[in-house]
This record gives sequence, C-alpha cells and structure tokens, in this order.
Amino acid sequence: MPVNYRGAPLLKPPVWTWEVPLYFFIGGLAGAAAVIAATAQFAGVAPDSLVRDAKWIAAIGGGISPLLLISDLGRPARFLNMLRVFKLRSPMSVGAWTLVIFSNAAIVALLPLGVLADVATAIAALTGAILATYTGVLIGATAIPVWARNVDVLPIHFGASGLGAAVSMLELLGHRTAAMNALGILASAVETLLIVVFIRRGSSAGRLMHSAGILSGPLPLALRLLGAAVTGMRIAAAIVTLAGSLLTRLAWLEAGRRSAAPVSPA
Amino acid sequence: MITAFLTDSTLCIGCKACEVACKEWNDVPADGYAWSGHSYDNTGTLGHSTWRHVKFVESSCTSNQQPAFAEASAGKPGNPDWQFSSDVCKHCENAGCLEGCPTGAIVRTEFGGVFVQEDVCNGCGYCVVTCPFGVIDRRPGDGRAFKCTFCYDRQKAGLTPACATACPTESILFGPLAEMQAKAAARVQTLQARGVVDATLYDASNTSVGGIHALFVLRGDPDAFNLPVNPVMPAVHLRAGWTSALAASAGLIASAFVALRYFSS
Repeated sequence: MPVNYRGAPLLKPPVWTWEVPLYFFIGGLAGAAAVIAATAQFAGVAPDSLVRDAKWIAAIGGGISPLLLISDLGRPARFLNMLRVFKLRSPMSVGAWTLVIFSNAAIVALLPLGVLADVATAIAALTGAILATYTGVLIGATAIPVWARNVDVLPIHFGASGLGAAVSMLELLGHRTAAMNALGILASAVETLLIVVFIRRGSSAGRLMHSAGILSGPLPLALRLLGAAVTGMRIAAAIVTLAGSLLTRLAWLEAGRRSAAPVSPA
Repeated sequence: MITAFLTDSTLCIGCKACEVACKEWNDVPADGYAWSGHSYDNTGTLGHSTWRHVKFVESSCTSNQQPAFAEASAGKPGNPDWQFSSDVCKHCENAGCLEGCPTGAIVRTEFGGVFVQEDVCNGCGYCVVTCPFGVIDRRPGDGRAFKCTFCYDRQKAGLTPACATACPTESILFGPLAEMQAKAAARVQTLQARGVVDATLYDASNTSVGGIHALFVLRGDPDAFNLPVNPVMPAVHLRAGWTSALAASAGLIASAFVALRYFSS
C-alpha cells in the first residue's frame, strides 16, 4: 500500500445511485434493439414482426432512459442545462445529446410516416450503437483507477452486453430465430473473452463482478451452443443474459466505488 | 491577471484560520462534529462543504520519509515529526472537472481559476469522478457540486482570497502565478540550504494536468499529503475510449446486418 494521508482515500467515489447502472442497462438494450430493427428492416429478409418488436423495445427503452438519468441528477429540474452546450470533450455531454436524438428517432421510427420513419429508423440505429457503447467511455475517461485502466475495452464490453440483452428480450418475445441465436453466441463469446482480459488486469474482483461475468459470458454461451434447437435452453440463455447484463452495470459501478476508496479512513 | 496560491507547509502552524475564513466568507454549511481520532484533524478531507483543509501529517523521525529530521534527531526515537499543510482545490491548468462538465457550469475565470456556476450546475456528478485530486463533490440535500471558488468574488473586487487573508504566518500566499512560482522555487532552495534536504515543490507541472494554480511547498513524500505524484487528467483516456466505442458500434451494426441477412432462413 503506498504512503498516503491517514489512510484517507485520495479520490471521491462516484455519487451515482442505482438509476445510472439501470440506465446503462436499459439504454444499452434499447440501443442494440434499434440496431437490430434497422438491419432487419433494411436487410429485408427478417419477418416484419421482428422489426416491429425491436422498434418497440428501442422506443420504450428510449423513453425510460431519460427519466432514469433525470432522476439521478442532484437538480432534476435543470436537466435541460445538459442541452445548453455540446462538448465533444465531455462524454457526459455527447451521451446526453445522443440519448435525446435516439429517443426521438426511436419513437418516430414507429409511426406510419413512410420515408421519414425509415430515416428515423436509420438515425435510431446509428445513435443506438453509440448509446450502447459510449457509457464505457463515460466511466473510462475518469480518474477512477479501475475504470480508466479498462477504458479501451469497456465500450466493447457494454456494447456486447447491450446486444446480448436486446437479443434475449426479442427471444423472450418469441423471435427464437437462427439469426438471434447467432448474435447471442457472438455477444456471449465476446463477454467470455473479456472476462480473461479483466482477470489478467486484476479488474475482476467482487462477487457481483463474478456473477455478472458468468451470467453474461460462459453460461449463456454454453446454453446457446448446446441447445440451439431446444426452446427451454434458449429461454434460459435469454434470461441469464438479461440478468448478467444488468449485473454487469451494477458491478462496474460497485468496482468504481471500491477503486476510489481502496482503504477505509483511519 | 493569472493568479495562484502558494501554500508553504513549513510555515503552517495548523491553526485552521484558513478553514474558518473560507467557511465564513463563502457561507459554506457546517459539516458536522466528527472526531476522527487522527491528530488534530477532525475535518478529514476536502469536500462539498470543506474548501480548505489543514492536514496534520505525523511521522516518526526515525522514518526514512524525513531524512533531515532523522539526521537531526538520530538516536532519539519517539520524537514525532509533525507537519501541517492547508489543502485546497488545485485549479488545474487542464481541469478534469471543467472538461467533463456537460452543462458548461464549470468555467475558467479571467484569473485562471476553475469556477462552478451554481446557477447552472444540475448535479450530474460527473465532475466528482473526473477530478484527479478528489476535491469536488456533490452536496447531499442541495444536489449541486461545490468546491473552492478561488474567491472569485473577492478577486473581482481586487481582494485576496479569504484563506490567504486570514493566514497569520503567510503560509498561504496569493499573487500572480509567475511570482508565486518564483517564490516557491526560492523557498525550496532556502530550505535546502538550511539543511531541510527533503523540501520539495509540488506543482504537477510535468503531468497531464499541466500545472496547477495552487502550489505547495512541503517536506518529504507528496503522497503522505495525499498529493498524487503523477495525477492524470482523465481526458487523456478519450482517444482510447472513443476508438473502442466507434469500433464496437461498427461491429454491432455489421454483425447484426450479417446475422439478419444470412442466418434468417
């Protein structure tokens, strides 16, 4: 342990409460769902019901996300101050703008507006991809050691987590297609690889982080590879992936708190 | 005029007049009567309601942290070495809180200080995790983030900040940045010439923070004062983070397209 002042932590822990990790989870899920909606629509071979359900997930998630973010603010009535400037150097600013554009586009994408709805579908997919991944930059570009140490992989981690959650939600709604399983395998495989990275970097401590990792990576990966044709296994994979995706965000906030205050004050 | 504090711990007597003057002038709320059990420091740390904090750094003179005192008192163990140092917001040249703030509430003043506009801050809490010195914090109940204002109002009126005005030993000096830097360097030289060989200047100048507007003269290891030897400005991580985010976004869209196009039969 390095010398420090009376064992007091140098850094302040994050003040964020449960709303923020829940927003990371729902925003990631909604963002990835918008990507699936647009690619399903424009690739042209997916059933219309998949496109519609994915758009609904994106729109509902896009509606809940701002509420969570606003309720976490110290001064919720001043949420609009987020939109008085745009700062490319502030991931919080980029994220606020991305979310506003995403939420509006995801709703317009559902309306019977022809080309306008198509444009909105594409915008929701592009901003949705950013929404699912920027949260890794948001926590990575900070002074919190465990976050900053992993800034290069956190966006990939959260993106894969969002993709897994969106696929799982669609599967629970009945879309247990080969395409969904392929995306689910990809997401859980990426998550499994990242567990190795985090272990090697000493960033995998804590029961919450262990649970999140197992539920996001190896467990759904095994269920999907072994039981692609078995409905029960697909449903189980979807449920554990959703749980793992939420726990992942909670675990990283908890890891940040512990990283900021590694020793308790004397 | 660009200004700075120079806080010299070798002159500090630990009276906490700076803490009191700061609280009174800035109308900072009380933060409780907690007994820390640590030396004479019941303030603890800088925070939303503590903008000056006098640290009481105790060490045994047999410790290798304090070579000058170890030499002077060789063979007399148990004689403690006691240093006091008044901590404050560093007003970084490259300020993590200022860059991270999404509302533009945190600005750079004409005096070079970093200032939170309390009528703009919406309490998002991002500055709390982007400060490499653990200074700024969100005040429960109020909901906004607070820290040292560099007495912006007093500087505007041509006055010296409250803490420096109250300091009875001139341990806290205030003036033009260049003048403070020169004084700090001269002071360290003087101390070393007098045999205080572990006297050092803390100015974070060779780090990504790019220098600070609150210089510290102290003895020994800055870490013992919770002054990080290599503070990192969080924005240095932006390139790696956004590269990863854009790659992941592209991967997300490409993999969804491939899966839905070719696995949908």
